Amino acid sequence: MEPKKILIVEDDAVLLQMLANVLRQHDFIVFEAQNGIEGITHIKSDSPDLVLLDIDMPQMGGLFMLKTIRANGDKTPVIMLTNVNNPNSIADAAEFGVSAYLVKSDWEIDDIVKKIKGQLHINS
Amino acid sequence: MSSLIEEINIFGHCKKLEVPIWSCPRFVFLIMGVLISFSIITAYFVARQYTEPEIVIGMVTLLTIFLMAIMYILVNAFERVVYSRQTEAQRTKDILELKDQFVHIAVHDLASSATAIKWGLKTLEPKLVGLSDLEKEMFVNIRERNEQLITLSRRILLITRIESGHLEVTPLPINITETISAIKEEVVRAADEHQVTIEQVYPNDALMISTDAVHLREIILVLLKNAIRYSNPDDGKVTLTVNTENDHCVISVAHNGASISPEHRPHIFEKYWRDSAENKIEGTSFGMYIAKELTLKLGGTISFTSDPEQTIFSVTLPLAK
Repeated sequence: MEPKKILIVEDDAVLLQMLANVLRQHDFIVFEAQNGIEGITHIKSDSPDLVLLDIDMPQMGGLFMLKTIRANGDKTPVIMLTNVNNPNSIADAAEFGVSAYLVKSDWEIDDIVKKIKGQLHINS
Repeated sequence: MSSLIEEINIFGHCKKLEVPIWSCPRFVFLIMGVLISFSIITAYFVARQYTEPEIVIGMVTLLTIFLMAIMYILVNAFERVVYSRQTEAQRTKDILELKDQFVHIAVHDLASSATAIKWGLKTLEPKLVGLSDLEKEMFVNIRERNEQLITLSRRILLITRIESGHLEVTPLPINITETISAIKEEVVRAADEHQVTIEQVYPNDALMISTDAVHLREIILVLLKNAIRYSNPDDGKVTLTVNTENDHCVISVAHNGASISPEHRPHIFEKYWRDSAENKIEGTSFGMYIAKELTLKLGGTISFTSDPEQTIFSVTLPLAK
């Protein structure tokens, strides 16, 4: 089976590297972006199978990026992975059809991998 | 007597208002009174001296213009005071907003760092096998402390939002027993570590309520973690009950630990309060304050009863209509 492509959009370099390393260990092809603008560029050029998207980022935040790609007709599954935990952001993300909204600090990294695999119908 | 002296101490009043003396209404009012009295006396003597109507009319006109000028100065002085207060209020508002922004950025960075530590510790877990008991204990302590940091950062943000009036509430219909069961799963590890058993009592597992699930989760986590922390250290038991009462849903969290002493009961929901005995038990101090504020935001009430047998915290929320 073709390895699945994951785009991580995360401004915290340490978290980005941790996620990328763990996902690569699970045989995913990983693309990295540090803000929404880079994220949109990767979506256009690399057609990822799933996007892990932070919210609070410089230049372009995750919710604006999500709104932009949906407005352009892109239907790539998106999992919000953020420490922003307020009802408005969750409702906004749901409106743009995110697959899941995960609060980073509540989740262990291997549970995030399981969630991604579940979303992509990959058996663990 | 002292209040009378205080009342006529015009300079003291002006100092309190923190405005220049010529912008101080009381001082301007005093000057106005002196000038009006002087004008009336002058008008009296002039009128006695000159009886021609033109002169009297001219004098009255001048006096009126003079009084209007004085009134203008007085009104201007009041406006200055009001304007200075508005500027001060705006400045205070700006400072508070800056403080909120700072807290948001600082806490966001704190939460990111704590997340990195959490994920890093998780990847190190397989290596625990080769460690000594002491090293394993240190590992568990680091993990617990880090979880406290995560909880603390989330609660600081919540308090900031509660106090700035920016706390959003998005009510949606939820199955309350399913939601509560899922929240309970989040504290299973903590319960195991404290050797506490959690019993669930749900007479009606199809109960629907309309509420904000994010805030409800925070309330129940506070109550559950509190119950685990304070339950009987030898045989800890926590009971989670969801029931109905009239047109309300009552969520109760009971534990079998020591009762809350009567003198401490009025302070349980205060923001920074913890009694000296409880201070020995680790945890953040404003959980109960957050639980109370969030419950009120959800249109509910929170209360507790405590006796030597058990302590029960109950949250009452309206049922979905």
